[in-house]
Amino acid sequence: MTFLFLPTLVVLGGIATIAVGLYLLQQLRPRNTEVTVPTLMFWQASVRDVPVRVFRDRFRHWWAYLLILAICTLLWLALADPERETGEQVGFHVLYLDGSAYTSNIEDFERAKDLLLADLANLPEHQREVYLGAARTLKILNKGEHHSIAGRRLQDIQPDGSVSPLSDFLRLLGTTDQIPNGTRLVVYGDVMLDDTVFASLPKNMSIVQQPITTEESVNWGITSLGWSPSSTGSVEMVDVLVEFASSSKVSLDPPTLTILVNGEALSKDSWIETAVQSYLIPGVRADGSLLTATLDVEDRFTVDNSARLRLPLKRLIPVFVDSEIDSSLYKVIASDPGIVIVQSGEQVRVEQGTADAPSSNPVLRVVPNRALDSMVTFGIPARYDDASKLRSASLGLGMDQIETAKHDGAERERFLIGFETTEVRTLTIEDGLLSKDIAFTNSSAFPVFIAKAIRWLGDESAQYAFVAAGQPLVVGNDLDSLAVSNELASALLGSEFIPVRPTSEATAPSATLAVSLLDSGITELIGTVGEQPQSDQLPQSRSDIWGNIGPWLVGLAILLLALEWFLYQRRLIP
Amino acid sequence: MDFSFSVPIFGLLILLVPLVWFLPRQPTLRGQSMLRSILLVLLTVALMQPVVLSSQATKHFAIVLDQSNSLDEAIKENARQTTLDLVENLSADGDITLVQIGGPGENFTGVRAIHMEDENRSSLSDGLALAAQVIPLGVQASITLISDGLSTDTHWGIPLQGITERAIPVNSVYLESTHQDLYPSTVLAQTARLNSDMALEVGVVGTGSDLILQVLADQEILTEDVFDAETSPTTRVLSFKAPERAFVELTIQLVVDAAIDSDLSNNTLKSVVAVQPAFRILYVRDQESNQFGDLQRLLGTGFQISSTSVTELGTINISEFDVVWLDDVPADLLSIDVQENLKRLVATEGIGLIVSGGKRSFGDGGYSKEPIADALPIKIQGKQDNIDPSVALAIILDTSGSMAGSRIELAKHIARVAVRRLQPHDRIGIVEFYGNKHWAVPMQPASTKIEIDRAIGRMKAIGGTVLYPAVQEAYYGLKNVNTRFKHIVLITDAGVEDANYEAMVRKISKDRINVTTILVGQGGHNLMMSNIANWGQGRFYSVGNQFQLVDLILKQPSLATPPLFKTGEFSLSTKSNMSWLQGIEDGIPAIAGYSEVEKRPKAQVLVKEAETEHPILASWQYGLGKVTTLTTEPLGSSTQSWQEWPEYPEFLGRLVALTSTNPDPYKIDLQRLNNTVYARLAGLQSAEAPSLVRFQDSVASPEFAEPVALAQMAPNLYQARFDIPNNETIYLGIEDTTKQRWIYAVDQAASDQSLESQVHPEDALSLQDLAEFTGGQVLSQSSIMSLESLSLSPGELSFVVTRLWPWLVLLALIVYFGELVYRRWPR
Repeated sequence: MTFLFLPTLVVLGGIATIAVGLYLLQQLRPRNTEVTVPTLMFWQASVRDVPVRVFRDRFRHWWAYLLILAICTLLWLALADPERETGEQVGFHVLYLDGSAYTSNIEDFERAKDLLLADLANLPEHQREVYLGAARTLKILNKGEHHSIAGRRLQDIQPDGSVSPLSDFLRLLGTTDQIPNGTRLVVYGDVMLDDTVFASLPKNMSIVQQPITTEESVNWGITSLGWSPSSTGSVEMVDVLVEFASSSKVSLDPPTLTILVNGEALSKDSWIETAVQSYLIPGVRADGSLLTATLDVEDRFTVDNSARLRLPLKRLIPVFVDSEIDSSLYKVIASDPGIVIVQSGEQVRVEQGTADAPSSNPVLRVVPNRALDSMVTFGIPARYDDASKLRSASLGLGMDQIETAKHDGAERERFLIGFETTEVRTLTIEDGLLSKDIAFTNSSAFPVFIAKAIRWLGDESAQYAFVAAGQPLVVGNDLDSLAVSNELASALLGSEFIPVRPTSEATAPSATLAVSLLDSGITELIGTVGEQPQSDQLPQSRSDIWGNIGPWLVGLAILLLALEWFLYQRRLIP
Repeated sequence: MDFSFSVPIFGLLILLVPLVWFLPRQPTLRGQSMLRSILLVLLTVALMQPVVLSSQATKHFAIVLDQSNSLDEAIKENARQTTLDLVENLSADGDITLVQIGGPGENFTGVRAIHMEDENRSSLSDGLALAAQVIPLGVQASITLISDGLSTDTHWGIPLQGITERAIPVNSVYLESTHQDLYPSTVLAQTARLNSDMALEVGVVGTGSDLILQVLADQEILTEDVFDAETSPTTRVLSFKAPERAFVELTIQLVVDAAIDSDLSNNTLKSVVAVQPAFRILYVRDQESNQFGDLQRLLGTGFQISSTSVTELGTINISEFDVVWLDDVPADLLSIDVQENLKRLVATEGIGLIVSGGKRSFGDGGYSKEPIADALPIKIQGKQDNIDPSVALAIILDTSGSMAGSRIELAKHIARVAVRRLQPHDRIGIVEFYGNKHWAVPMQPASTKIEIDRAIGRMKAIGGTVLYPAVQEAYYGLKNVNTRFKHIVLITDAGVEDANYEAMVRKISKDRINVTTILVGQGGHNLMMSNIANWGQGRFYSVGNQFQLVDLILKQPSLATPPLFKTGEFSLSTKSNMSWLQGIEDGIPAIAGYSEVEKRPKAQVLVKEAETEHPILASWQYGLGKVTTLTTEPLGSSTQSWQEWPEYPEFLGRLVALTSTNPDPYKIDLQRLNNTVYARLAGLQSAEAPSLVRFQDSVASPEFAEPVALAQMAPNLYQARFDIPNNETIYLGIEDTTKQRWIYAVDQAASDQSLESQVHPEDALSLQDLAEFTGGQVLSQSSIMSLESLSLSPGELSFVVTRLWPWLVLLALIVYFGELVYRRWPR
């Protein structure tokens, strides 16, 4: 037993003091002395002779004293805030509130929160921590913090329909030594505890779930929404795919699907039903509009009832082309539908020059042979334009199609992509690359090389085929595969951006992505009733009800007070 | 300040308090009842466990301390000292949590420590994520990262997003690493195909001389590269023949002298590469032969060759093949439909086309008129000669007296005109007859036209007319002349003797000498002259005056195509310097025959005849595909020397590889993020949903492959997600139903991670930028102690909790004492 409010010695000393005090107080009471007088005439003398008040007398009413002492002792002990040392028996708990898509129904989330807070109050403060698993894992309560703080911190939290970070949370825990043996993770919510979660669970940890959903319900959700380049080859159009699914095991009448482009409904005449609940919409204008697909259904989980897609924007990159440039290069640039050749106001320059010529604009520069170590050299203005990612992406530039590069032993390294630091994005190629000896200009890779390079120089953001919460971004057009925009790369110091919640999410000051859930695994499993845990698995039962005995002491004191009052009313005790 | 009750249900007990006033049987002092009521209320409220939450700006400092193996001991010690200084500085201001990456676990007084235990990984991403995770929501906080910035992964974007959302500044203390080490750091593999060269780009960190980089498979060295690394990092390219299996586990070994490498344990890299199946070749011949067997033998197992005769070509699904090889197939055996289909498949599906052959194909010039000629990088039509045949002309000129006057002049004029039409290689002779015969101009080349003209000018009309001998003379003069055409032109006024001209002229005609007669002076018709012309298979002209001059056509020039296939011994040459045949050491042997062709402007000539520079091997891009021509028989008599050439298989293999662009119907991209691998398939040519399987291991046995469900994310984009441990390699295959083979893809274990001792400098996290980006401070070890404050995130959800329970119970105890005193006080 430990006392949280007073030291043990003070507690014991206090009890002793109370006992003495009550003993003395017991003496403080009117006592009637019975004097026998022979006649009434002697009563005045008796009154004169017998003292009115005496402090000490024979100690009587021991039972009353003990009763009162018991009451005061109970109160004193309760004041000292005793706690049984049940820590080891209780074990360490990590309480995890699921705020992901699985518990995105607000009522479910509130119920999960209530269950957590109720269990939290039963656990010793140093034997638990509380986390919220929404878009990210957030610590809600540190060990040692009072449980009431958790309520305040969770007060304004709402589920955001994100992909659950639980497995990643567990993976992180597994890399450390911070988890005591026998830790129990209690998950409040309906997040799916799949193989991934169990694979990530540290070995010294067990997991139990307190599911919220008690009745099966059917959930409908959009599982795919993405675009691809038009099958007709038109650069001004794209084809869009929409798919939706339900969690029902039996076939149901599907809800109505509405597709809006910038708020205006897209006619269903153009839709092609490619499979059950799957539609292809060919020939949608690539004008950067926001396409929204919505299911007209009322189910418990609305996070996947709609999805958003930013259509690509057909861009024309204004390019200035030096008149001295090789004709094969000029022809490729001129025939690229995404490029317009201008005489001024260019975004990108293509010119003949020397390797060290300065440039204020992004430039594709053709330099004499052997001016640089590599035939192709990217100039990167900031290190966040991640050289390693660009290097991987540059494998798609088709340099491996140059036969000479494969076999020219001494010269092979010259066909590697080189990198250097520059003020603005540059691409320097040696004019040998354009020579007939190498015949790169005659290969099918050459136009793709130039197209990708110009787009990268133009620093246009990549246009993503679909943007799903919790998943890396996927470019929709192979020509954009180099296009890691400066801004997006800079936003995360060269690392990848993973959108975490289905919303319009700002990635950088001027870049906003339309993010959707698009997860068939979630859509088809949401709403299933989880298995209720065994009663002995939850913190309520794990906590020793005798652990916090203060209220019991006070309760007992109240009972004794009631008894004491009753006896006092009966004049059985003084 | 917030006030709340932890167990509000006990508040119901307050309803029982009035019983104190209504239950007593005995009169009770009001004061006593009041005190008792207050006591019960206090205890009831205490049972409800009220707490007061007061906002207080508590702070939380998270320190990420890098103690990974990329730091030497001195730097690690400095880092620990820095941490200690920081803890001392901050301990009075708030709670501190230390997240340590690697190294033995450190304990600092008053600091909660979390130790990331994997010695081989220093994930700054995980360190930052843990640091953010230990900070409770709504608490003022900062993170301080003490590190060299070298991280075994680059996933810091994920925690960084959360950190910036919460506006937690990250301060940084940069630990500059001083030790020099040499190690291979990165490897990138280009697309590899069975029996073709594959290339690896290996990044090497560190500098040194005489370094050896080896690539091994099954402990066998496939290639090695000796080089000097003058700058760091540097990249080397190693090429070797792709081993014959679907997935190859390679070991890249850097062999270096221990004297210049402080750590030899990190000189090995592993890489798993997918090797795509062999090219499928359709070999087409027009004869039954075993040539394709020879071809298979030469090319080896790296190529899968099917053979067919040209007559069956139209029934075969050519799309199944990467390359179609027409070998010595005459053009007229290829139907128009087959040719058009071939052209279409090359242009639109990227199938490669090799056309080779000798006399039977290119040699006869037949291809030049066929549709398929448009697709060839050469022009087969040979130079056509403008043939000007030679002619021998004997002019018999009547210079008898009857020709005097204008007739002789007219005759001489006709003779002169005829002479002018002759070429220098023609022959001319003029016989005059005037009672006798005389070669005024003996048979001679027509090159001396001036003398001939003068001789004509000297002729005078005198004497009689004896024609017969002159004709004989002219005949004898022409008989032994070797020209293509022979003519006798008789110019007379027809006043000639009678004789048996018919027999003689017919005989002359049989010797292929035509006899033409020209009647001058009279105009009209002359039967004898006409008959002579008929018998001599010539023509009769009547020239009455100078205005009726005739144009004698003595010959007809023509165009002829000479034979194209040349035989002999022909040396070959290739382009110098960056030669396609680099690595084939011997040079190409001479051949015994080839077809003479011309290259098209955009074609690339890879091999040519040394003297005439006629293209032997040429190639060009045709639509999506490539077409290559070899103007000799690859397995015929003309290339006997090649068949004895040891490097001929290599040459043929490169020829096939050169011609095959082989665009796969799907492009597959694999991306690993910790314990998740995403596989994305984009359909390049096929609109059908792909069929993806996962192989159990690198053997890639289809019998044990597990189908993988793909989610279609966009019309042409499919995705599969694999949740697997980071240390597991995943082997995948897409079934190419058109070409009846697999497209392999692999993502090796921990592909998104580097070993601690092999982190590439390019993958380092810039601590300065991190601090600037998050609003933190760049600190130095020396500035820590004098640090006044750190910038913090906003925090409005940190509280001090005051539990009122003990105070209420204390008050209740006092009130009870008071009630006892009040009750017992003497009155």
